[in-house]
Amino acid sequence: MISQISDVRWRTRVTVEGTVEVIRLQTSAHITALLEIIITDGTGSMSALFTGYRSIGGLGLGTRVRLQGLIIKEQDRLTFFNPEYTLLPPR
Amino acid sequence: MYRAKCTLLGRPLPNDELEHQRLGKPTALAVFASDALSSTAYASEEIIRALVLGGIGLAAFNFVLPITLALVAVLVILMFSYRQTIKAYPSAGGAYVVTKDNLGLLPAQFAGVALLTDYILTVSVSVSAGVAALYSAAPALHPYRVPIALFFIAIITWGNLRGVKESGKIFAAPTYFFLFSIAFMIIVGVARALTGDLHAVANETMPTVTKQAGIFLILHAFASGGAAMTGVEAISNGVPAFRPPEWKNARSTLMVMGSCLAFMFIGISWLAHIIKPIPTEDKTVLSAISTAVFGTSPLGHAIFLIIQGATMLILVLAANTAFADFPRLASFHADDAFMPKQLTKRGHRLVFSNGIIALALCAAFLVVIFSADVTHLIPLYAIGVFTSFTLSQTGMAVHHIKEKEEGWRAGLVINALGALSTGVVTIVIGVMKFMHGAWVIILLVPIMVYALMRLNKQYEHEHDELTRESREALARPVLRRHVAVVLVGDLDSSVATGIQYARSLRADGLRAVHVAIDPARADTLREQWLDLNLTKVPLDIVHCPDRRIDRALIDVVLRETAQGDTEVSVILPRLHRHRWWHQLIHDHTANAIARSLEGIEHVNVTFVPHRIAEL
Repeated sequence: MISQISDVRWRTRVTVEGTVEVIRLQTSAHITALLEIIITDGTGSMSALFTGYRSIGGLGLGTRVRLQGLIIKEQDRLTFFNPEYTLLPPR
Repeated sequence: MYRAKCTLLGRPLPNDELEHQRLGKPTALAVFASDALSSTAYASEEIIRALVLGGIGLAAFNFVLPITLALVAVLVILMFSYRQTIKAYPSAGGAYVVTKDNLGLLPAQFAGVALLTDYILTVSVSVSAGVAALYSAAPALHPYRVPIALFFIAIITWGNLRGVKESGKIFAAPTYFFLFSIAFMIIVGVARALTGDLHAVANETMPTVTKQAGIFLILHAFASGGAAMTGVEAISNGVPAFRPPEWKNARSTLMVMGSCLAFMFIGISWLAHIIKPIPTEDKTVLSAISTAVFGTSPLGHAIFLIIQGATMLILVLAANTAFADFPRLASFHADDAFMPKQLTKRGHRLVFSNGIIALALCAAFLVVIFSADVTHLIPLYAIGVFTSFTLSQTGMAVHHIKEKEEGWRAGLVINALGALSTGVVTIVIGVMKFMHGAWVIILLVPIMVYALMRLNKQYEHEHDELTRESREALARPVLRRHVAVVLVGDLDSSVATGIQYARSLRADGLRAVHVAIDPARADTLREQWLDLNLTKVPLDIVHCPDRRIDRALIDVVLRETAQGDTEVSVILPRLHRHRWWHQLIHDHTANAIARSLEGIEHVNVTFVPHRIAEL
């Protein structure tokens, strides 16, 4: 079942679909690379963290993507942590 | 820029040089009378023109004198009415202040706006009439009248920006020069007429006679001559400039001015009645009269030239008085929050520079539109000043009823008579000139007043909110989170300056944001950023398919402020420009972004200048 981003709650396992709005590049002293994306589905936006990547092939700005995983809190904001992702065809 | 300003306008004046130069009666007469007296240069002519164009032929000249006398009767009523105003309002008794005090703010706006439009027309009409005096003496200049008029306006504007207002002596010579030369002309003319030596001129073109004079035509001519009355209010505006006892000196100066005006007006109209000069395109009635009076001998021609010169000078000076009055009146409006606050600012030389420039632009616009033609400007003129006469006299009548000072009954009768007669004249002018152009003013004044009321509402609203909410705002909890966002176009040293500044804020979150308009550029930046290895500063690359940077950034900040617990600082690096023209060679995206982001609550925009060494 696909949830709306505005309905997503902490510590639940959900599936959402949306468009990649922001790609955040981050280098950190602890891990080699951290990739964060922010997706939006019209009801809201949320981020997803991927560790160990500098970029993910096919996952560019404007791509439609389905994310499935557990919701955690990162700096008080709801976030996917290393979710499963499926690239969707453009609408 | 500033150096150019100093060269053009002179050294800046410090605040403490702002004081009124007190004027003795002779100088004061010169300063305040130029507007009123100068209108005799064209008032008789406009009466004749209205009659001749009405198609009654030379019979026009039978009506000049009666119409002039009727106008002088109005003038006498006005003089006595203003004697009352001067005594009751010795500090500043302009129509605006008197109306505001007694009738309220809304009527005051009408009085003020009506006067402002008339000040603009004073400049246009006087300068155009001054140029007419010039081309009557030198007909070759007739085709160049518009540029010459604009040149005069430019000179007067420049003089006023420098602040010639306070130097009354500049006024004395031309005003008395005009007064005496016209008096001389009238005396010589009357003497020649009495000895039977002065005859009607042979006009080149005879006007066609199509009908008899009717009451409508006579009222129309009366309305055209009403222009002679403008400027009578000048003394009541400037009572504080007189030496003490101010109100007594102002009153006697007013009486002298009114008498001079009446004498010249009647004299010129009487001579016109005898000489019967038909006004033409390129020769004024006044110049035709002086030619007829002094003849065509070399001496006569020399005197003719002197009179034309004196006329031109005083008309230009009359325009100058509007430059003193308009900015001051506009500043009254602005002080009461009915006009933009900029009009209350004294500029480089302690004059109301913005008001001066506004007046010059409006007057120049009219001169161009009406190609410096007095006859076409006249229908717009005088209705404003009579509106303000009526309102201020009504205000004075109310003042007498409210205050009941000594002798208030007599004052009430005088001012009520003043209000009544000027009210009737206002209606006559409005009706008679309506089709000829007065409709512009009749339409414009209420629209302007509405605009001023709207402006005032805005100011009041802002003021309310600013004063009421300061306490509450300070009592509100401080937001617990602070995110700083640095806008990045390309990775260059101005961005570096911005990031260094942002780091010093020690915000809870700090990141750089790049709006991806060009994917290739975004990819380059991405590589460069990863190479930099800035561990504490992530880079957000933001999707922007429609290339509207401001919209994309609004989404970025809204994501931060959505939960209501975050202040966002948006940091916009930009080049600091040493020279004004540097502004032109860079685009102004940063300013546009700032404007659209500043509307969002808890979003704060900071420009970080990057200084580049001068070339």
